[in-house]
Amino acid sequence: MIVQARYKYISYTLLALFTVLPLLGGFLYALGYSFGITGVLKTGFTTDHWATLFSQGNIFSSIFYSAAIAATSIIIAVFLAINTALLLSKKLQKGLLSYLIYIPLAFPGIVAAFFIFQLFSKSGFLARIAFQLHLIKDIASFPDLINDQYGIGIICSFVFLLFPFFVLLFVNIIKTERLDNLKEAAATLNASPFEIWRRVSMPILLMRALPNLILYFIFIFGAFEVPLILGRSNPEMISVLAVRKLQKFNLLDLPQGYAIAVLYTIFVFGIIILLFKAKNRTDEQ
Amino acid sequence: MKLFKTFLYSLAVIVLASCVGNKEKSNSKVNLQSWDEVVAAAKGKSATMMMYMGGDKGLSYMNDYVLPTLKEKYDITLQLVPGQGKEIVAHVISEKEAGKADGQIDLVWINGETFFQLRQIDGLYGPYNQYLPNYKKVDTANPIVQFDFQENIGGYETPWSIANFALLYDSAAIANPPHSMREFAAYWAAHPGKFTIPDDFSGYTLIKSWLIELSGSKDGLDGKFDAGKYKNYSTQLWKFINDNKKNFWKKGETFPASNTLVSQMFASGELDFAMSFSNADLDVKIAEKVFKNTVRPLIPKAGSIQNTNYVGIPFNATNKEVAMVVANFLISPEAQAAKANLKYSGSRTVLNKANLSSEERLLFDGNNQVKYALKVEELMSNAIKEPVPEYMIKVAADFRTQVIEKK
Amino acid sequence: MNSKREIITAVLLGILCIVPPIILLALTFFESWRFPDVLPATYSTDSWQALFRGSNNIGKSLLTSFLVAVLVGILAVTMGFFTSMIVSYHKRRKLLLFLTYLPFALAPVIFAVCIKFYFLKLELTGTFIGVVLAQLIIAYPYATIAFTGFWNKRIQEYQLQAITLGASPGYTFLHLLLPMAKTIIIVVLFQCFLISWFEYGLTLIIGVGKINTLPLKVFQYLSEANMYQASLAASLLILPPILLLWVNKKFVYIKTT
Repeated sequence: MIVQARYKYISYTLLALFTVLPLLGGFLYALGYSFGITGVLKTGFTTDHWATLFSQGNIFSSIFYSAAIAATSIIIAVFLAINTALLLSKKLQKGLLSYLIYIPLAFPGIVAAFFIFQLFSKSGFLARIAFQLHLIKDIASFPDLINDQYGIGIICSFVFLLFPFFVLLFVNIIKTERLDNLKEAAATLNASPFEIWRRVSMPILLMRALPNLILYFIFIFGAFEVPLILGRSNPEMISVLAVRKLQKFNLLDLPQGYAIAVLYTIFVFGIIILLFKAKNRTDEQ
Repeated sequence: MKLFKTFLYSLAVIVLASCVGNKEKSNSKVNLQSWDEVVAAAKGKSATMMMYMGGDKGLSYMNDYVLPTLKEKYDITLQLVPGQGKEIVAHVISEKEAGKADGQIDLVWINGETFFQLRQIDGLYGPYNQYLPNYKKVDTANPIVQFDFQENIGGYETPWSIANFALLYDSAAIANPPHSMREFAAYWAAHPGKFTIPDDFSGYTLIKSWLIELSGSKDGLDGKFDAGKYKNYSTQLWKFINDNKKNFWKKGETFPASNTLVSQMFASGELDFAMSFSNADLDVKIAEKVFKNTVRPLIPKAGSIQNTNYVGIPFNATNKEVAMVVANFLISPEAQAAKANLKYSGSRTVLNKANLSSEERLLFDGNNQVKYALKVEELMSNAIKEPVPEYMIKVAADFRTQVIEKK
Repeated sequence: MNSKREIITAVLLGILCIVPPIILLALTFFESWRFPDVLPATYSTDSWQALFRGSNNIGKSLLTSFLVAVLVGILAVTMGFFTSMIVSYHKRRKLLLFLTYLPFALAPVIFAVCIKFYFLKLELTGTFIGVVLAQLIIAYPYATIAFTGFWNKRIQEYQLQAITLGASPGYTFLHLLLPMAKTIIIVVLFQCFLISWFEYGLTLIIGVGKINTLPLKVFQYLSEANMYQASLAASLLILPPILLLWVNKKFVYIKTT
């Protein structure tokens, strides 16, 4: 009644055009390609490409690696951000720091990766400083911080990107949940500062932030530019693997690339269901 | 009902959008027999060229010389977009699948396996070389020019410049550089962490040089693809690399994505060897102080793999006549002489000097000679042919499965 | 009140925020910066001069990025504002929201490869409009989600009241909704601008590299190992958002759920 019918239809049409159609179309195209039904290389229905993909095993290591990088980055960023927010919640709401904290938000992934590269590579700023301070004797003795085994460079980039978002998120929750009052109440009940941190601050902040954390997990899980610049050739994060299969020397790898896209989409779909569950719970509280 | 209406609206919008998009079709019929007509048809138009943008000198040749000259002489605007081999193939395939008649890309910089794969899917326009007036100046008698990775180009791509493969090392640091695989293995053992193979065409070319070395003769991989030979030599080669990779950069657990990165690490001293496809580029880099003046080229034991790079026109290029004018310009004596200049990339020309007039030959004489890179005679005596593209495709796939993904 | 720990953390945090942009900016003036020198042998303004002369095309990319981002921002906000009203008041609110989350959460590169076929069919690849539409696939759902917080019970009651008092929809929008939504509209507009400003995957694949925005430029220079130009393009990518911060810091804070 509030909304006129024609606005409704315009909105539905827009939603259909920009969300449902691309999603459905893209998914069906990838699905068809992966089963050999469509594309230049179509052979008629076959499960060969899926079989090859699964037999190689690097799809699983890639999913696992992407999830591990995403989870590690988020845990580190959350830990740092919660404690920063708790410690500096006043300073972050007013004054110079409340402006400075926004600066890293102006960094896209690609620039963060470039920055970390300039800082951490064996000929980067840190290596040069270490050399001048005689901490390393030559370029080779500087530790592997990028293209490294543990994804240190990638994780550092993501922590750098996520940390300010999380700080602001937590400061916001501290404000809206009146956390200070709760903490005071707990203190009058003779709870130690650590107990307050563990039983009051952390659970409230984490619970409130959960839907956001899940969403950032999805973003990092599918990240492309950062692992492309700072990652290793094996294992690769899922977007890098998919794009390599889709644009590779061997034409016959194309359907496998689309199979990865299908798997990835289903995976994200699943996590978003989780996200909505978490959101319902926080909304109810 | 609601759903149906939404669907109808959506359909209407899509139809409308495709009408808007459809406007710029210009696959005009031009009489290719008359070059003047082609040039006239191209005047004032623009074209898009997809090329590898990793070599900064090649890029500055395009940006600082080709683009302005084309504008001035032919009133043609050429736009460059980045994309190499695999991306070009992926793009042409996607346009082919969508049945797109007026393609986004008019000219592509290709060779070897990219040419092979584009031909496989009928992705190239041609044959068209016979219409280019400057084509008769090209050294077509030279098999390295006429055959791209031993495949006859058949008029489907225009030769652009000749490249040869070499490694680079610092002669001040290494008095007796390794040549054979055995010598390399000894070097790696003595200097761990200072060598790697880029996961791109430069790295694959080194691997092919080693396959040829394993075959025992310079022409060991000549002729049609031989699966038996490949299996035999490549098995030995992967074992050789895997046995030694503990002494590679980052213990051989990861490989850099491109030779651009390798060259950068070579310049900073992180690596002892880089790879190069452009002979004169060494002189350029030394002049720019990117490399020390003690850096020298090093030819693997098997020899220096030579190939030519080409420009081709995608089957559905919207501005074919513009692309042809550009291709013809690229093989003009003046453009080739500029490309051979050390100021740009110092590339070897694809023209046969015997086919040039004396004034045209003069254009080349003004160019400086290389001081540090290999002289033409050294290049010729060490030249070996590029094996057919199937080897490249196999090597690229197996390098990943047999080396990168092997623990 | 200010404990030592507090002050140290605050200083560290401040450094962490300020140093990266300064280093990036400094890199644009470096020349022949060879290992192991911490500072380069010489400095130059070559890359900046090239920018103002227009010889490296970064200026053109800056303009392209700006036009795309402004257009995407305005369209996403306009469309998202109304759609979010419909979605918020709909009895199947949850399902509609779920649908809007998906395109916005998928990795743009993978999504782009899967939908490129349709963009080719519609003759939209390699075109400015194509890139704007492709980016809207992420920005529009984002705007829709971001606005859902606005359409609460109170707003709904105001709207009802206005209608009972005989106000036309146009009048209600102009004189009631717009003033109330002003702040959130500016915030979402800026955020959609940023989504577009930073976008890489969709722009590369749907734009076929022809719509050469700044992130593409950064990537191209990185693959050429041309770090002086890369740092220039990167600096230009982060400077406008930082400047806008000083206008209003709230603009950049992306509150997603």
